[in-house]
Amino acid sequence: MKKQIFGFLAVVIALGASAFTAPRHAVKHQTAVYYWYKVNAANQIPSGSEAYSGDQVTPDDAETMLPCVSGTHLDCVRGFTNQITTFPSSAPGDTPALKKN
Amino acid sequence: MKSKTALDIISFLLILLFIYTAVSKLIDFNQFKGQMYNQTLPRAVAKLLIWTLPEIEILTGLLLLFEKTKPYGFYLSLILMILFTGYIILVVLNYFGRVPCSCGGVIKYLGWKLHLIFNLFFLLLSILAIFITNRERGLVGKEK
Repeated sequence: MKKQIFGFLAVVIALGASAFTAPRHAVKHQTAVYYWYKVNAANQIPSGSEAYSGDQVTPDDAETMLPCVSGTHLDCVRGFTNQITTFPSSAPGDTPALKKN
Repeated sequence: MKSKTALDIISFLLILLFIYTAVSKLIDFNQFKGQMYNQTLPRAVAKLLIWTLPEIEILTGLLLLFEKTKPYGFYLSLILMILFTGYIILVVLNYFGRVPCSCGGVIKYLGWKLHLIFNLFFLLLSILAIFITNRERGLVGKEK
């Protein structure tokens, strides 16, 4: 046990550090969560599309993690409150789409 | 510096790295998942990595914790650092275009070039640890 003291110390420091640097989600501008789908050049969600993260994600988080921004050009991804099942889809989504710049 | 001390310091730093990044990924799992899907990897590979990468990092940390398993930990660490560093080199060379970092904790704020230096440092540490371990084994073998 004495031999592993540095190792265990490293584990404790790592756990402590990750707890302190974890992002806090308590304050969010938009707390609603959506499933996000990529839109193709024809302005449609193509056949066989899967929700981006497989989980519901807030618009703020989506903007951080997806390759799209709140721009003014073509739709990049659209967010839905439920996973969509019919493809291809032109549905506008349940939240303003993130745009391509 | 004695070999034993050097190995203790290296394993301390590697454990810190792997446990910290793994736990940071798990704490903010949703964000990590989104970032992985946003990489230029095939979706199936991204899916596989989402569920295996934090576990492999924790496994590496655990292997480095105990004397008997430490050499395996150094090898696993070397493999992971080669893969991560290779990926970062491709990103820095703009092979993929813009790719978001899916790293845990504060490491994601480093930027790609600093991240490359950071990874090269840990890659060298892993190589050094394997070198020292093998040299020590060789010396023990000769004594016998």
